[in-house]
Amino acid sequence: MVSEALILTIQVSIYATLLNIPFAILFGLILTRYKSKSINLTLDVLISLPLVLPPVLSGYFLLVIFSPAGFVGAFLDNVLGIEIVFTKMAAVLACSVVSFPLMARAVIIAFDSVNRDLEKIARSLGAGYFRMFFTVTLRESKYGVIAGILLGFARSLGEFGATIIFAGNIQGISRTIPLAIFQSIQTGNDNDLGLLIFCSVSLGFLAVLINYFLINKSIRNNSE
Amino acid sequence: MSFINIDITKRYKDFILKCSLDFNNKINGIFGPSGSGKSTILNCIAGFISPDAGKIKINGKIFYEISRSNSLRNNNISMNAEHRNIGYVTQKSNLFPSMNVDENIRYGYKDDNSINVEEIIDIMNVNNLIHRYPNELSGGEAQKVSIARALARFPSVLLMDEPVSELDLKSKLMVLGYLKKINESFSIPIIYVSHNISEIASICDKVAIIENGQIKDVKNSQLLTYISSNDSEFENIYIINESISGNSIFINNIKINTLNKLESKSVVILIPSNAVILSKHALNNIDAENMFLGKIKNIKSMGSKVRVFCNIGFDIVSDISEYSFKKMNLNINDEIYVIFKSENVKISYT
Repeated sequence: MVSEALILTIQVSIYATLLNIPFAILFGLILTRYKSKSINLTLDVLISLPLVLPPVLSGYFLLVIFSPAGFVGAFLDNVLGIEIVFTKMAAVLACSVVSFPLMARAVIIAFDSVNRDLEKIARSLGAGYFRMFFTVTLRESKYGVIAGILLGFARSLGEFGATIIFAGNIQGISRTIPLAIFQSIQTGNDNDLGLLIFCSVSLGFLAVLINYFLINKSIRNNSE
Repeated sequence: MSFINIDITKRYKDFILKCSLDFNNKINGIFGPSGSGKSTILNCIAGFISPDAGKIKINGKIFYEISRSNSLRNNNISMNAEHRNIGYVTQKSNLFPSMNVDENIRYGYKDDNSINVEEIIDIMNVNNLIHRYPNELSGGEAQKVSIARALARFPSVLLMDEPVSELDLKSKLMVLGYLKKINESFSIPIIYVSHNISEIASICDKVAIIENGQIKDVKNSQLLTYISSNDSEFENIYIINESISGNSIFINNIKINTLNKLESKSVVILIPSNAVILSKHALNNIDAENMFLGKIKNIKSMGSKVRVFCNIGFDIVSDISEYSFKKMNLNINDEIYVIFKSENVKISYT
């Protein structure tokens, strides 16, 4: 049960993180490079909302949207024959929504710290937007971006509220470590509880530790 | 025939830039105080800022042309910055921190260039730096690499936005010397922007003077006769691009004695204006090795001191106290002896 929950947690967190990366980069670029106050304000609020809402509520919104009666859920069900609710995909979506603000915020800070003159110089040297982004913007902000990705991953590891509402607590499908701990406490079956807590703390500790070193590296990089 | 034609307007909330300039393929200067619009002109040429209307044409190629007239709207051109093929050098070297010098220089290099990277590395004398990273370079070295990086693209024009303002004296003179060499070796026109009149005067052939977004005047070299508004310090800078040896150097065929033995293909010389002494009579037994008879061309009061513009076969500026000025009773066109010590002739090799 522990190994199954551990593998599932890591799997779900990796998928959720991968799902979030392109959006975090896109939002990061828009918010730091696009100078429209109204668009920036709207995006900023959207990004921050899952951070302040109870995760249970985020899960409920997902349930409303993706249930077969919801507007996205109905489309997926009727047109593509895909059901999301109470699946591993639901656990991934729940984790991605809850962890997105942390990743996006870190990416925004990382992009913001890149010297804009470097981007100007790259363009004067013939680089189009894509080459400029990959060779200058992303390259110079890599430690901050990786730190943000890791922070999002770490948040996914501990996700509980949205997952239990949207994906349920189904062994092998959506019972990640936090849900397994909940299950263990609920049922009074504390045989695996110690090991589950150890796994949860170890994974979180490792992620936060690496994050700490990356952020320090990013700060050192920017000050040089 | 002019090589660079700029005729643009750009309106900000509380500032309007109106710029009409025709520059040649030599080193052209834009001189003006901070906030006068100098950098905005460069940013418009580079394509980082879009003017409201006007035309930018470099060597027959139109970078930008937007007409206010509706009937001509279809002919509008606004080339992206990456297609303009310009070299852009800023106040800070702005080298890419995660790339070494070699990678920085090769970033914009095109194989079909008429010059190769090795030639540029050689001319800019950065051979010994190519494996270093930007944080391992001094300010002057980093700026040399930055210029080499811009040159590697063989740009149609080199835009320089106060490139030496953050450098120490030695590095500043070294970089200024390279600019002359670049213009002569590669025939790449340069637009050099600065608020330092002595820098501009020393290297530019033609200079536009800008104030509050308006071009006030355009002068052909010999800018020293232009009286700068509030430059508290003036340095006489001379760039000599000919072989020299021994303890003397020639500026416009006038022999200047120096303290050190020289041996170089080119040097940059700096004589601070406050180290230049004026005398109405020839002085004998004086502890200064350079004394020349010349004429006063212009005089400007600078508060507690007076700036005297002289010509001794080449232009030289002396800053003297108001007290001395009154005591000596100096006037324009007076004959004057200009005196300075060899040790005040500061030299940098390029």
